[in-house]
Amino acid sequence: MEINFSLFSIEIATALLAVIILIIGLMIPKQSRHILGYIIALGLVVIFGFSFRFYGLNTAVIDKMYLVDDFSVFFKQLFLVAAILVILASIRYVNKMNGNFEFYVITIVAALGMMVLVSAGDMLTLYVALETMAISFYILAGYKTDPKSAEAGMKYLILGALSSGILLYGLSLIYGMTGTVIITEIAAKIGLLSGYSPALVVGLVFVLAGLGFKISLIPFQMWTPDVYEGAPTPVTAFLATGSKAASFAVLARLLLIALPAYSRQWQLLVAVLAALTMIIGNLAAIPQTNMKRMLAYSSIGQAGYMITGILAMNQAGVSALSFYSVIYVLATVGAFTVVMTCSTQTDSDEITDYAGLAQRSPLMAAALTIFLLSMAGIPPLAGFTGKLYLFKSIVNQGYLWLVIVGLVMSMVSVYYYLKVAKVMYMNDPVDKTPITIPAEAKITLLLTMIATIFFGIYAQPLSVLAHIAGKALLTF
Amino acid sequence: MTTWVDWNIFAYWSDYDIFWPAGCGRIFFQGFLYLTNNYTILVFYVIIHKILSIEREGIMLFRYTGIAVILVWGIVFPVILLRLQKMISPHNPTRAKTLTYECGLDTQGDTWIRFKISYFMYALIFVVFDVETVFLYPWAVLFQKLGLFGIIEMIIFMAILIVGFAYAWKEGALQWM
Repeated sequence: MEINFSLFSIEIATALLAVIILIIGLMIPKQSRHILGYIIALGLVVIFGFSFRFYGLNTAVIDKMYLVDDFSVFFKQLFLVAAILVILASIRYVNKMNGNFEFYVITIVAALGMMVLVSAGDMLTLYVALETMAISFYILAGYKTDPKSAEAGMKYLILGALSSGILLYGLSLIYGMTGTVIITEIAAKIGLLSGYSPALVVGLVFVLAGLGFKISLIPFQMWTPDVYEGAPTPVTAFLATGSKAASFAVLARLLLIALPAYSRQWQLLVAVLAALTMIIGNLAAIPQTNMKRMLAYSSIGQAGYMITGILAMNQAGVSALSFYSVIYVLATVGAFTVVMTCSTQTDSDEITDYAGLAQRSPLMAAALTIFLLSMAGIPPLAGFTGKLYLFKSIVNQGYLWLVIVGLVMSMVSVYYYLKVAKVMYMNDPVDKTPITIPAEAKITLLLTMIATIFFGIYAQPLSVLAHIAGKALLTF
Repeated sequence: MTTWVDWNIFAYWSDYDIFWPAGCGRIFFQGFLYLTNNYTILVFYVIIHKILSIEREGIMLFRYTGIAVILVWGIVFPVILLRLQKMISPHNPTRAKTLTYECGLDTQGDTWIRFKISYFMYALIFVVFDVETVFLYPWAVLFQKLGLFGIIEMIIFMAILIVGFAYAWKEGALQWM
C-alpha cells in the first residue's frame, strides 16, 4: 500500500517536536529547563506557518481512514494557535508551579490528539485520537500538587472515562447497523437500510452524549466548573479552547457527513439541548464569585451558541461554527491569560480580588474587558460577528425561537461580564502594588486582544478561510 | 419425580445454534427439572417460545427477539448455575478453608495496608516493554515482506519507547527509595 507520508507532515512534525523536547529536557540541567517553553512555541510557530500549504489538498489517505481537507487544516491551525498562545502565556506560571518540562510535552501531545481527531476519517482513528487528547488532559488537570488540582484530575478522569465508554458504545452501534467504520461511507450504507432503525438512533444519542461531555453540553456539563477551577489555569485555557473546538469539529463531521439521514431525529434533540445550554450556562454564571468558575459557566453558554452552527446543517452553519471557534479560542485564551497572570501575584481567582485592576495593571483590565465583551457579542468586537454568522445560518431554518433564546441569553451574559468590568474599574484595590505582566504573557495578551478587535472590524480574511473550511466539510 | 413436559417447545431452540447445539437444551432441562423440580425457568421458556412463535407467524414486532432472548438467558443462566451449585455442593467451612491462601503462609494482620508505590513504577515500565514485544512478534513474522519500510518503522517505534524509558530512568523511576 502506497502512503503519501507528506500529507501527515503537520502531525509528524508535532510528534517529533514532543519527542525532541523530551530528549532535550532530559539532557539539560533542571534549572535551565524553562527555555524549552520558548523552543516549543518557536517550533509550533514554524509548523503553523508551514500548515498554510495544506489548504486545497482535500484528499483522503489510507482507505479514507484519514482526511486531509480544508476543514481539518483550518482546525489544526486553530489548535496550533491555541497551543502557541497557551504555552507562551504559561511559561512563568509553569516555572512557579514546579518548573517541570513535561507540562509542555503533554500539552503538545494533547494538541496532536486534537489534530488527528479533526482529520479522522473513520471511527477508530477518531476514538484513538480522542483518547490521546483526553488522557493528556487527565494528566494535565491534576498536574499541580494541591488537593484541588488532584480532585479536578480525578473527576475529569472518572467522568471522562465514562463518557468515552458511552461514545464507544454509540460508535459500535453505528458500526453494527451499517457495517462500516468509515465516516464518509456511513451515510450511503444507511441509505441501503430498509426504513428506520431504532438501534441507529440509540447509537446517535450515545455519540451525542459522549461528545456532548467534551463540549459540555447541558446534561453533561457537571464536571466543567469543578475541573476548570481546580486545574492549573494554562490547562484550563487549553481545555476550554482546544478540546472543545476539536470535539465540535468531530461532532460536525459525524452528524453532518455520517448521519444526515437521521437529521429529523437529532435536529430536535440538538436544538433543545442548545437552548438549555444557553439558558442554564448563562444563568448559572451570574452568582459565581470565582473568576474561573464564572468563565467555565460562560464557556458552557458559548457551547450552546456554537452548536447552532451544526444545527443549521448547511455550509453557512459549518463556516459560522469554524469562525466562531476561532473567536472563542482567542477570547478565552486571552481571558485565562489575565487570570493566570493575576493569580501568580495575588494567589487568588476570586472576582473580588480583581478590584481596581485598572489601576494595578491597565493593560490587563482593558484586555479582560475586551475579551468578556467579545464573548457577550458587543458590536465592534469579533464575538458579535461570530454570533451574527451563527444566528444568520439558523434563522431561516425554522429556528427563530432558538435565535431569540440566544439573543436574550447574550443580554443576560452582558450583565455578569460587565459585573467583572465594574469591579475592575470602579472598585478601589485593596493592594495597590502594580501587577507586572511577564513579556511572554504580554505577547499572548496583545495578540489575542488585537485579533479580537481586528476580526470584529474587518472579518473578511477569517471569514474567507472559514468559508473554505465549511465548504470542504460538506462537499468532500 | 417425573413430569410430563411438552418437549416440542425445545425443538424450536435447536434452530438457534448460537445458544447450544441441537438437543442440549432438552438434556440440560430434563436434568435440571429432575434435580430441582423447579418450574420457574420453564415458565420463561414458554413465554419466549410464545414470542418466537409470534415472529414465525409473520408479525414483525419482534425484530430484535434474538437480543431479547440472549438478554434473558444471560440473566437466567448465572442464576441457575449459582443455585445449582448451592444445591449440589456440600457446605462445610473450616478455618483453614476460609483463609485467603489455603496452602502456604498464614496472612498476618490486616490486608488493607499501605504499600510502596515503587512497585507500581516497575509495573508501568514493564508495560512499555510488554507492548513492545506484542508489536515485535507480528513484525518478525512479516519481516521479509515489509522490507526496508518495516525496519525503519520499527526503529522509530523502538526509539520512541527508548526515549520514554530513558525519561523514566533519568527521573528516578527505577530508584528504590
